[in-house]
Parts: sequence; C-alpha cells; structure tokens
Amino acid sequence: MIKMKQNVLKPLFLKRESSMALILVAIFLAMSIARPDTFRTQDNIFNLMKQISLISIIAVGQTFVLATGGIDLSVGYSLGLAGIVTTKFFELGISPWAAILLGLSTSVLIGFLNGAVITAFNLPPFIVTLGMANIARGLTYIITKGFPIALENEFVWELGNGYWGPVPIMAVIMLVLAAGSTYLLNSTRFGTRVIAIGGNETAAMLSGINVKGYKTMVYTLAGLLCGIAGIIMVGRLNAGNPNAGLNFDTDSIAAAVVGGTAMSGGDATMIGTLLGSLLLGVIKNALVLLNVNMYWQTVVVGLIIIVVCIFDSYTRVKKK
Amino acid sequence: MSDIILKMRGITKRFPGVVALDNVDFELRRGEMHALIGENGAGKSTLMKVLGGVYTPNEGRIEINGKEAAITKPLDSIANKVGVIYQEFNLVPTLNVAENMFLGREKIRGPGHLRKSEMERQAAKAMAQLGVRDFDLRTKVKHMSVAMQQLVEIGKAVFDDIDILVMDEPTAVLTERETKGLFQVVQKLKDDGMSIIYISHRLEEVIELCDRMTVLRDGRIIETIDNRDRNTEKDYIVKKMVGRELGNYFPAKTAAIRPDTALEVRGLTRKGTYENVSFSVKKGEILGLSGLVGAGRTEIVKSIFGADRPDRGEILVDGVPVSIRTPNQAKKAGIALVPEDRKREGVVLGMSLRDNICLPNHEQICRLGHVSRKKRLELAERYIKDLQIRPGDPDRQIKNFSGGNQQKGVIAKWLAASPKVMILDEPTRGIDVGAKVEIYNLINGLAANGTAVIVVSSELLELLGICDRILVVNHGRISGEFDREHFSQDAIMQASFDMGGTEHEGV
Repeated sequence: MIKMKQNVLKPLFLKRESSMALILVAIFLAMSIARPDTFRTQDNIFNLMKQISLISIIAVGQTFVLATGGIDLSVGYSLGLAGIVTTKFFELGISPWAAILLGLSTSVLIGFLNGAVITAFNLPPFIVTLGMANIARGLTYIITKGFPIALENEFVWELGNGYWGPVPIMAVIMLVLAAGSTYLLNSTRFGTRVIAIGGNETAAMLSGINVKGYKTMVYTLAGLLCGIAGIIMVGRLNAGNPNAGLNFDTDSIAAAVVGGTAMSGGDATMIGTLLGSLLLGVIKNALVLLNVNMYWQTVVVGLIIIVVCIFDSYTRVKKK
Repeated sequence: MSDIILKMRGITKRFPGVVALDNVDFELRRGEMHALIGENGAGKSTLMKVLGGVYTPNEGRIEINGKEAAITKPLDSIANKVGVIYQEFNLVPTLNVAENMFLGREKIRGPGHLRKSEMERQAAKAMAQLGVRDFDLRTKVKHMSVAMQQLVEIGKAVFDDIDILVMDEPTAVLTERETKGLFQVVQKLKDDGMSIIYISHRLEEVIELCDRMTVLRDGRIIETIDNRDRNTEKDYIVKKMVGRELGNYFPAKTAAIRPDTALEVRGLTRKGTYENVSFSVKKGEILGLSGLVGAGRTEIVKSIFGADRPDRGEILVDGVPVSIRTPNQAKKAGIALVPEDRKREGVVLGMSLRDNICLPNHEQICRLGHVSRKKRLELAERYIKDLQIRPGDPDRQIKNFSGGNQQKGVIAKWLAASPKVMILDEPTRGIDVGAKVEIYNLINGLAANGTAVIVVSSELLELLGICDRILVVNHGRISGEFDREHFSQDAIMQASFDMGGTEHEGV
C-alpha cells in the first residue's frame, strides 16, 4: 500500500480570502478609531453598501468570464445601454415590464454575441469585447444624443433608492445574486466545467465538455448581470444616463483580481471577488472620510491593486 | 476470446516532410505488459496518439478484441476501452482529485447540483483500488507531487473500466522511491487482468517489468523481443534501438583543433538540475553532449548562455572569467546558442527571415537607433547565400519556411554575430535528412574556421559522426568522456543509462 502525504493545511493567512478579511477588519478598526463619529454609523455603512452593490454585481459576472481564461471589457457600456434602452421604451410609453425586459435582453444579447463571436471565430476575448464595448457605447449616444433621459417609475426608483427594512434594496439584490453565483461556481456542474476550461482547455475538451457552449453561456451570464445592474442604476439616478457604467470594466476586473481570481483562468473565487469589491469600496469610503483629495483617491486605489498583486505573486512563489 | 486484444495493422502517419510511422504492425496480448522502446523521434508516442485518437493515421486499421475499432477522436478510445496517459498531463491543475476524475461526467442532482460527497466517495474507491489511501480528495491537483498527479491520471484512466492502458514515460519525472510506488500500482493493475503498453527510456525498468518489448526506429518496427524471463541483455536492446550503420552523410573531419581553450566551465551547479559540471572546449573543436532527455544537458547550455542562472560555478572565455547573467552578456562574451525548441525559442515566427537573421545583430546595421535598410538587406542576403537558405527570399515570413531552413535561419543569425563559442541544442530535431547533412557541413565549417562548437543531441549517431569528443550527462552529472578514437555506442549508452537514479532524488 502506498501512502502519499499531502501538504493540505496551508497556513491560514496564506489563503487569499482570509488575508482579505483580515485587511478589511484592520481598516474597519482603524477607521472606527480615526473617524468614530462618521465611519461606523448606520448611514455610512448602508451608503457604502449602495456604492459597491452595482460594481459587485458586475464583478461577479466578470469572475465567471475570468475563470474561463477570458475577459469582458464590454460590461460597463453594456450596463449603460441596458439602462438607456429601458428608459427609451418607458419614454415611448410601452408597458413598464416590457421596457425592463427589453433592457435586460439588450445586455443578454451583447453577452451572447461576445461569446458566440469569440468561440465561432476563435478570436481573443480582449479584442471582441473591446469592439462590443465600442458598439454599445456608440448605440447609447445614438439613442440619447448624449443627454440623459429622465424616468418616473415607482418600481424602478425603489430598486435604486428603496429600503427593505433598514437595508437598501439594491444591496439585497446584490447579496442574493452574489450568493447564487457563489453556489453556481462552487457547487454545480456548470461551475466545475467553467474552472476546468480555464485551467486546462485541452483536458476539458478531451473529457467531452462542450467548451464553446460553456464559454458562450458565461459571457451571456455576464451580460444578464450587466442588464440587472443597468436597470438598478436607472432607478438610482432616476434617469438613463449615457455615461453610466464608465470604468466598470476595469473596476470589475480589479475587484476580481484583488480578490484572488487569476487572469490566466482556472482559478476563481466568488467570495474573493466580493471581498475585493468591498475592500476597494471601503478604501474609497475611508479616503473620503479622511478628506483625501478626490484625485489622490484614484492614485491610492491604483497602488492598492498593484501592492495586493505583488503580495499575491510573492506568496504564490513561497507556496511552491 | 482471442489471445490478442489489440492489433494495429499497417499504420502509416505522415507529417509534412516526415514519415513518423511507416507501415507499423503492432500486437498486444491479453494481460501482458508490453514495452515500446526506441530513440527520441522513433515514433513511439505517435503510435500511441494514433491509438488514443489524437492523430488519425493516413493508412492502417486498428482491431480490438478481433473487431475493427474506429478511433478518430479522443473519446472513441475510451469507448473502445483504451485509456491513454500522455506524457503531458491531462489534469486540470486548479481542480481537485474527485473533480478531475469526474470531469465531463459529473454526478449531479436536479439541474446541476454537484453530488460532491458521492463523487469523492467513488474517487476514493478508485484510488484505493490502486492501493492509494490517506490523501485529501479535495486538494487541488496543482498542490500535489508529480508522483501523486501521475497516480491520479492512472486513477482517472482506470475509472473508465478500460481493458488496455497506455502509459507514455510515466517515470520520466519521478524519483527512485516514487517510481517504486508506481511499479506496485502497475503490477496490481496487471494482476487484475489489465493489458498494458508501457513506453520508457529507462531500460532497466522495462526489463524488470515487461513481458515483451517492441523496438521502434525511424517509424518502423525493428523487432519484438520476448522478455518472459526478465533477462534480456541491455546491450542487445541498445543495439536494436541505434541499429543502423554510420552512414557516410557525415562530413569528413577537416578541422584541426587549435591548442588554445575557447570556453571553460568550472564547477557549474544548479541544485536539483545539474551538479558540479566542469569541462572545456578548444578552438576548432566540436564537443558533443550526449545523454537522455531530462538529464540536464539543455539546462547546462542554457546556463552557459545566461538564459538560466546557476547557483554557482565559473565560466571562462579565452581563459578570462566572465560574468554571464543574461543572454545579452553571453552574446557580448562571444557565446551563441541555437536553442532546442526552434519554434518557441529560436525564431520569431511572424517576422521575416531577414528580420530574424538581424535580431541579435542590430549593432551592425543601426546607427543611433536608425536601421540602415541597405546594411540590413546585405547582412541577411550574405547569410542566405552562405547557408543556402531556400527559398532565398529575405522578406518571406520565417514560419513559411521548412523546418530545416528555419533552423538554418537560426544558425545564420548567430553566425552573423561571429561567436567564439557556438552552442547548438538538438540542431537537427524534426528536420529531414537532406537538411541534416547541410547542418552537419555547416558545423564542420564553423569548427574549421576556429570556432569552438558544442552540440547537444539525443541522436547518438549524429554525435558520433560529427564530434571530436563526447561528454555524457547523466542525472545532472558528467558520467563519461570519450575521445573520437575511443567512441563506442555501447559504452556511451551505458554511461547514459547507468546509475539509474541511485543518487537521484530531487525532481
């Protein structure tokens, strides 16, 4: 009989999620001391949750895409176009539900086209989604001519501004989607296959997995999440804004990567993405409360992304 | 049921410019362990890829249990109860053992909820059948030792309820102890009635384990040897593997070795890869580095070229110690390397022949960063003519040249840098005989001009044909040195195979 000893229990601090949680706790403690009157108030916490809800929803979709070894640069403009299509149809006076459905369908279609073009022509996801981002953005400006479209609708307004008990509704939606996605990635056949495709596409193919089909599904799912976020955004702004979703592409990638998802594919953690999104949000929030100049905030966020990745690459080498 | 479980008849597989398998007939008996042996490039792996459905042969057919088996894609082999473990692993590194075993046929409940504990239970059972217990099924494969990964591959293959198992070099990267463990597993499978095809370079291993062995050479079956008594002479196998006469396609040695040393290496060591390597090459001398794939030859020459950093050791050019930490410093010291993997390391595939030749020689064709088109073309055309690169079109992308002419392009770019020491790693791999002869002539010509040449090759005949001296590398150490007058195939092969792993522990 052979016994193969495995180094299973890695020190806890080497696990990405744990170290992220530790950093978050440290920031919370530090801010509670530095700004006792403003940071740990209920208002600020819920405000923070609102701020990170939309980007978290997008980052969840991005994580699936990154898990296959792809990338989706069209998420921001897909979100924007979904919102614009919804408000435009409201303006045209069709039934609210139909307008919302059409908005969602727009983003789903964009995601599906991303996946279909990437797999059918074997093109790099970077290029295809970059092209799609431009198309979505162009369409957004064609429809709006660059001006916001105002929207008066109770339901949509509630999505972006309402509260469920003390909790913002958009945060509830985000948590539900995040929980569902965590389940999907960790506990379903779909999730395993997505990871397998990113980890070793040949092995996945040799195991009889429909690689192209799964990739297309992943981009479509990312599109659906963009649509949902786009409609919540309309509610929050009370308007379809052609500039909505700006920087969501890079911010969603940053959240996922800071959270421990590999850009090379095959290694993704949904909890990590949510913690990553929370970390970036908390840092921005803290910088505001500490009265740091807005432009410097951007610089700090950039530094954090790089430092976390250096730390990560260092610990990965150590683990070998 | 017939005694023969697998028959491969008249298998021919051609690749552009090469016949990899030439009308091969191969038979596997039920319940036997059958070795496929031969030099690198003899066609062993190609034959098994045909059986595994990775390659479709140009001619020939496969019969399993007396019935014709249509194997045209990887899943067909499993349907025919054939499991193939390829040299390159087919596991997903970021998934765990159970997930890898069930990849593509996961156990689910409802629309897609994974029955993880059920899969883990079955995976544990499959591994236990191999005698492997006490490991965490949830460990990601990438965190496991190579030996353990190898066992997972076997577990995955066996899980399919197969009758024939193919293993391509399963022990190549294992330590002595891990190899022993693997043998137990393989023996157990055989006792349970599995028919096994086993590819290995380690002859002791093959003699110890296999009932029969088939020798392949240049894509043809040479002989099937009965090894029932486990006492086949190693020398006999080696002779069959190398076999052919030294053809006259090696150039007559014209070079006179000069007295002064061009390159000297002292005590070069890289932990776990090669150990205390010392040798020297004289001007005008052609030195061969022989040994098995993975013995450390490539790593040694890469270190001399600054592409791989040694832990310690000294390099002297013309008797002067030089510090070489990057290929750029090596180039300045007068050392050139034609690398092993031509397509990945030798050429920039998307660039023209001209630009490839000029790549390490921009100093010669630029002034203040401005490229002189005239000088660039002159440089390229001179070497295209000297080396007779065909077609002689400097603007043609290098990927559109044959392997032999690509290789001449790589040699050209370093010739243009006028090195004192030219190192060529597997210079004739994958190119046809005509081009080989031209490259031998080139190497000879270089030496005649006083350049010191080091040739790394897995083809022993080639080294015997062109070298003045041969060093044998075995498990990272120099295990033999032979002057031209003492060249002996058997002795060199012996030095390559000997001490098989007794001192070899690191992976």
